[in-house]
Amino acid sequence: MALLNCSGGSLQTTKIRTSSRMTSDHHDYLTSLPPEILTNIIAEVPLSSFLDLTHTCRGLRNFIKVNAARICNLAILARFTPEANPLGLTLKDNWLIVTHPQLLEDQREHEKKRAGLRGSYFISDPGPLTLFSLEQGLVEKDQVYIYSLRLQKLLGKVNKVLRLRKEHGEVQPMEV
Amino acid sequence: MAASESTRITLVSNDGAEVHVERNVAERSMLIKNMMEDLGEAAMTQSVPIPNVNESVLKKVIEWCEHHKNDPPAAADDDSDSRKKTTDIEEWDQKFMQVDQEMLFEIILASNYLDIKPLLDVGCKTVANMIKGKSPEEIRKTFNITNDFTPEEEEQIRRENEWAEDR
Repeated sequence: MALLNCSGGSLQTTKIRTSSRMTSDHHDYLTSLPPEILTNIIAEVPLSSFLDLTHTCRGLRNFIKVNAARICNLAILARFTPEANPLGLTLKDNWLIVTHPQLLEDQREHEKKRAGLRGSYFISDPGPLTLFSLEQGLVEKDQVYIYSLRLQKLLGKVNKVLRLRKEHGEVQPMEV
Repeated sequence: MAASESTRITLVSNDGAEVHVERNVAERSMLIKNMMEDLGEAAMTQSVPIPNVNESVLKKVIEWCEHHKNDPPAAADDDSDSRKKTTDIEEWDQKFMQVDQEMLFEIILASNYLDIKPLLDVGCKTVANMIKGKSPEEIRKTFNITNDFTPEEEEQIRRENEWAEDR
């Protein structure tokens, strides 16, 4: 699958920590894993756990921020292949985003009705919205439901942690 | 091919233990499978060193391969839903993964090294399940992660959490 080969940015190639302690009872195995395995594991947990991980220690926080696009892309491909297939997934600034014309059109319509709502995000913006929407069941073949304020806030939190900001009408992905 | 099904080969762990195993079981490992193809007939008479894996882990991995030896081979480019979609782990694998953390992570590293994708998958999902639904503090406890945030970072995180509660 071609998407996998370009699934977003280069992976941080050094381990978070180099193992020093090797006593089995108190060893931190998780953060000593090679980055590619750690990426696979994080891609298996929902975005909410993903945020909890960023609050455990500096190493994981930094790792997740730096590799956010890659982890989200992998999560979409690993966990949502059947749902995601009809959505016209494409890479934009390293993030897998939805490009299905009907979905984008729906979204524009909604956006008109809600003109001026602060902090709204487009599903075609680079960022974790596509994964988020798939997890919440907000995207189906022909509809997007991302306009509740509650969901916008939750997503805003994800973006905040990943330092994605909406500026001048565009979501700016963090440089990696 | 059919003739080689029941042939046994000898693997040698990094701590020098010989492990005898049916060739088709060992070939769940793509690394070993490729080695066999490269070695040809010689593989039948020589032992195969596995330098990154110790005896107990190697035996555990072989146990998994033994149980799964008749699984249909995962076609690399066939993204059929069956494998990818499921976040659940089949019952036998769940039991298999009920080991201490050291062994769990050793199995993950070994399956990565030996290139046994379905086992790596099960391992990653097992760890993912240990993370899901836990608070940051519970995650730290589970994995012996040291909180090394500076007071400034703690403050930043506190603000992120505040934000979360007001959703």
